[in-house]
Amino acid sequence: MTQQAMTTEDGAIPCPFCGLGCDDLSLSGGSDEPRMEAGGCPKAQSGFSLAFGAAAATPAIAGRSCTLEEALDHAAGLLGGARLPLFGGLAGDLLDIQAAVRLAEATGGVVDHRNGAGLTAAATALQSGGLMTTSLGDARNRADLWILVGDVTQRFPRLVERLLEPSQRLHMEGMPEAVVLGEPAAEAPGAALEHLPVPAAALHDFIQRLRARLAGRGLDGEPEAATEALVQRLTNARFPVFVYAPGALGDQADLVIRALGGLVRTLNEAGRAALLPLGGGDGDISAHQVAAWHSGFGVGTSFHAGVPDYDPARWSTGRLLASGEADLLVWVSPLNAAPPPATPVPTLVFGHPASRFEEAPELFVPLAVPGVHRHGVVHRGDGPALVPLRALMASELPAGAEVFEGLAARLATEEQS
Amino acid sequence: MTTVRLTGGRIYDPAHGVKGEVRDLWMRDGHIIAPPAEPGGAHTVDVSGKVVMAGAIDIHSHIAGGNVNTARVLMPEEHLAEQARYPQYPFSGAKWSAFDTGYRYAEMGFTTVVEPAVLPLNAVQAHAELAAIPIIDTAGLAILGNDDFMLRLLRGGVEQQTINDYVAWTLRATRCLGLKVINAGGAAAFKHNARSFGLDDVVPMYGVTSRQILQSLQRAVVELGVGHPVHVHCNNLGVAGNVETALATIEAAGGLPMHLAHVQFYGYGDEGRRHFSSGAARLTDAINRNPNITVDVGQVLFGQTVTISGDVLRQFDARGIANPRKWAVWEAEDGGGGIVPFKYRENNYVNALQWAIGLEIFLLVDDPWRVFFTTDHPNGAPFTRYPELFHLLMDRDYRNSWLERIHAGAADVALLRHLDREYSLDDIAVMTRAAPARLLGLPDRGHLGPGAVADVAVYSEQEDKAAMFRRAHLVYKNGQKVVEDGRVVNVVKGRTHAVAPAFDPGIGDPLRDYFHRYHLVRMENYALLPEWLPRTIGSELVVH
Ligand code: SF4
Ligand SMILES: [Zn+2]
Repeated sequence: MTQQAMTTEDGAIPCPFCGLGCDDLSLSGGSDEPRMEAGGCPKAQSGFSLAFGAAAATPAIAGRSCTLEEALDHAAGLLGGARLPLFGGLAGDLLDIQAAVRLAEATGGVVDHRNGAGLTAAATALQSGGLMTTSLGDARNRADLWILVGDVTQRFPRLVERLLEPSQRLHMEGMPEAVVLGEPAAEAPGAALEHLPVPAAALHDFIQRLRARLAGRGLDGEPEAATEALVQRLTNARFPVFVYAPGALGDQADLVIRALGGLVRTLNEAGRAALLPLGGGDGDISAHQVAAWHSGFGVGTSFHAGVPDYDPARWSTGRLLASGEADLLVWVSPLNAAPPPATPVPTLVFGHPASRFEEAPELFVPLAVPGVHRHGVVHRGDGPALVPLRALMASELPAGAEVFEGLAARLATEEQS
Repeated sequence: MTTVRLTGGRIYDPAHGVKGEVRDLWMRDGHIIAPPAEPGGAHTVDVSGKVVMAGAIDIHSHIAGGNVNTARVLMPEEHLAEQARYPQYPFSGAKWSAFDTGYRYAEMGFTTVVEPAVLPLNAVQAHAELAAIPIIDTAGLAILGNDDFMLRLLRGGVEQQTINDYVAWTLRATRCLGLKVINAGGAAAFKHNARSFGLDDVVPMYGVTSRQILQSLQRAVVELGVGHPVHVHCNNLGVAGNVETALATIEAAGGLPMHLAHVQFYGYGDEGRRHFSSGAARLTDAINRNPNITVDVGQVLFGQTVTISGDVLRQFDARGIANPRKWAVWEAEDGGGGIVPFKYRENNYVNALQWAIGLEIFLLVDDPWRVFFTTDHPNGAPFTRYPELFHLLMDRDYRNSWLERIHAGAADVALLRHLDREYSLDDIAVMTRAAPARLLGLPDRGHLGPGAVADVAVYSEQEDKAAMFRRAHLVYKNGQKVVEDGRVVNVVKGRTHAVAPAFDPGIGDPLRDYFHRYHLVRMENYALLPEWLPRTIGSELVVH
């Protein structure tokens, strides 16, 4: 961990732009004009160059530039008057998210993440029976058969390179086998992986059939060659790992995850196998974890009644905005420049300095991008590991935590006076 | 800062041999001070008739880290919020939260708590959670013993010095206070599909036994001069007949310091019709004969809880007894863990005997300086139930009334009915204050001598010891009043304690190379530099 802004080619710069959490990148060009060098991927390249080029944005109220003080006063006024503020997006690092969750509690708001549907599907599957999981590093070293369920290679550009083609592994000779299970389009161009086409809508059923066959039960109808072949490979494998992004599994995600969980439990009765759920990035796993140690529950929690009320269906961004129940959207997104959801609800954006808007929001406060403009930390998409993020360039942009703590202090003073 | 004088209290300060004498206690600038020559201007607080002790210390309570957090998510129905206990303070309606942990420990007069299972890979999360816990000071114990690097070192037959360097590097890399070993080699063996793992079993692929791993780590801690001895979760947790494992582990300690965690879970014989009996007499006999051994009990109290452990092999094995029927097992680089909800029932033979065995251990260990209060929170019971446990140990009649209620078969075979000992306030002060501070190597707390941090708890003595300890009359943290009449009145920030033993930086080369080959994290991004935690998640780190 380096304390100063640094630009080096040391090959140990962490990337905050997806759940894979690569930390082997290099920079060149000095802190004035940093450029990504070796390592990385197109997603990282565009993520870093967007942030590098956007260091000088200023806050704006309804599209007109203002000072940070004015912006915070304005935000405090709106937050103080809001009945149910929704803290959405939460695409930041652990520090941004923690401060946002604390502000949400102080203002009786709701917390949700832009990947809230995936987080909720994963949590629901866990709560309904439990899961057996492993981590990226453990699977990289030990998996001899990878089952990629749905789109993972597009979401995690270096997954094949980092996990399926490692140069050295523990106690393992040779490379693991890999099968993609899902829509034909679920595979990144050039990945050239073996593919078993299963339409998204049929995924749950397919997995249940696998499980039945593994448990030695017969199925109605003719045994399908594809199912039987996969059953054979799963039986022979020493440590098959099922990797998936909960947010990429569609409407039936929690059912698919539960089915996979059951399959893995069955395999573990005699041998070893594990699930490898991967958060999609944008700090989603940090949001889930931070929410849990603050409130006891994941995202999809309201503090409106003065105590945490966990109900992800009720407190989802989509529903709260569509129903108009939320009367203020606080969009927290220092890692992601994409615009907030279009809504008539007044929107305060605490976001990436290069945020794009179709229509100027009520307020825009550009924040330091963690891992570019300031130090920080974010969870890797698998959960147990965290990636320390480095400041790579000097920047005047405020940290999210600084801004949210400033807002909380303003609101506390208002309350007293 | 003003000087505070607590006057008229009955002081229990075992480190200085003070047993209930009425004395004044002086505090200034966050510390206990000697009575000043000129006490003018002191703020005097009358605590006449009250019991005054140092702030209590919990040496083993699972309060932070990914495993704890997953338990929160797994069991939302167990901690539904009802009302904010302190509407003026953050997250005070959030049961099981980091915040609730701080408030509830403080209410009972606890001011320092150790999280005993920090997986190095997850250390930042553990520290982030510890930093979020208000009021109390905290520390973590770093887990080694199932990590591939260590097992490789042993397989390669390296010198002890290399193990020492690696242990010291790990303690610094994780900013922890001590070292934890959980079923040494068991999680590594589970990866190769082992389903049980004993002290002399060999870890597949490495050719080393659990005993070798444990002994080399124990020696490293001793030779590095780390204050807290190696903190051991033995093999075969929860298995009938496992008192043999505990006895063998005590032997294996070879006279060097070793702390055995939650030994109630290793106090089991396999005799009788049900092949499950109390091994407390044999276990405590060995503890009494081996002054190098300290233990905490991991007392079971009846009710719903959730077991959280880094012993992934054991947790997988326990999946069949999950109640409610759901469980989570996870693995990661160099370790893993599992979460199995469980309900201890008084009318169940095994559970009732577990309850009795824990109490037997408390009552049969002669030296209160070597046995510690834990419920292995939340594995035996939540820490909030410590006051009941104090009551059981301080009041024989109350204890015996419970013997009438539990499973009759268990009550019959338990030794407990023959044990008349009652704990005194002095015993409680030793076991929850003086001894834990000594065991953890924290000389600035656990006592009330000049120079100690002004962590002080004042209790109103009453017949019902549970009521007495559930809500302290007053609690001071670093000299600031934080609890009054059992209610939190001031939310201060706690500190996190760590050690930083020296090591040969040469260990960095093989480590860097190892991370490069087998990890998805660079060594540079794995080890925490001392300034990093304060600068990012805001820990106030105290290095001893
Ligand atoms: S794969 Fe993800 S973490 Fe790795 S460099 Fe690309 S965007 Fe960054
Ligand atoms: Zn424990």
